[in-house]
Amino acid sequence: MPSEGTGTNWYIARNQWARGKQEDQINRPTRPSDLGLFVQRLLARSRLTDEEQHAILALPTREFEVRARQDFVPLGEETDCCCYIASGLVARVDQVKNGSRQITAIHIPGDMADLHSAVRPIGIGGLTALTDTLILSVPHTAVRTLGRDFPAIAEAFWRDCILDAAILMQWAVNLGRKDARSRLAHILCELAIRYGGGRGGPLLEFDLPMVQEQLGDAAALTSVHVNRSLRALRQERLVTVRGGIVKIHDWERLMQAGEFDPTYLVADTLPDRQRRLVFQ
Amino acid sequence: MPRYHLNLFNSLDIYDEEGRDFDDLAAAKVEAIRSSRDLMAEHVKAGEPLDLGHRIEVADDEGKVLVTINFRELITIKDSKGITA
Repeated sequence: MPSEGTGTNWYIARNQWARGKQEDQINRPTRPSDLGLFVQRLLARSRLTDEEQHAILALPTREFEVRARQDFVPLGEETDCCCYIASGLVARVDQVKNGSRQITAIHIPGDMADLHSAVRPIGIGGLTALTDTLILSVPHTAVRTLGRDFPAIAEAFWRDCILDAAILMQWAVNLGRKDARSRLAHILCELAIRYGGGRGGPLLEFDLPMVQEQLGDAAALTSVHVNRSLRALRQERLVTVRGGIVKIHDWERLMQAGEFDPTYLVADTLPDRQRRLVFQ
Repeated sequence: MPRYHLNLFNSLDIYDEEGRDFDDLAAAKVEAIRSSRDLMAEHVKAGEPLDLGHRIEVADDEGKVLVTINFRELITIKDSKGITA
């Protein structure tokens, strides 16, 4: 509910963060607890030496868990760490006066959802968990020090931030100029490519633990309209979204429905685009 | 919070299997009205006929219909001479 969009949950999350390892009382299965997926995301568009990769993996992190629907970076609050998504699903959100929320980005495991905050710690929306999520937070100071010591890493971070900006630009076009069915198709195409690792091929089946209301907040639609549009896409045998799982039946036609061209996601993954611009 | 299902009856009958938690029935009704207007607007923008007999029903978890929002009740059409529909 929008009414949960207060700072309260953030403080709970932060306390958990501050307790650090003490939170081990929570029973948890084995799960990704390092930045490996983030390095993979960077390597899709930047060349990094083994030393540079190890330096990223050696960043100090603190784990905290966020429950579904909790805002863990509230709107307008200055932060001192970047949030890496180890598991779960996160949305960047903003809110208007009547309480309506707009999701402006969806972040999946492997994303450093607010890498930009290392140099701009305030004023680019808030972050909320769409499902139970495990975050590894990395202090801004450590991120900036890494960028200073390894210029090629700074360049990789720069490219990563630009990827998020490119996604946001397409997000605006999608919401501003397309009908309901196309908007949802576009968002599903974007996620399929990103879950596919950003190297060109889509993942045709993936978890998407978002309820209709959240999909509506992402596509600027009511949940009834989401339900109706998803039904239309299913009846056309393009894609089925049910029980938190997306199954794409016809990738080509889903792209057509969403007027989706993956270039903005994969253009910089071609080998000649990964050329290093800075040398040490 | 109680869970309500917003079932849509327009060119397709679409049951809301997932449902959604609302503060109360009044909040669910507000959302049903908002959704009805949104759907009508899309029909008008797409140049499709607007069927005022369409509706959204708000049902509880047992499927009991608690409120019906008829599209007809949400729209007023008039021209310079006054209300015509």
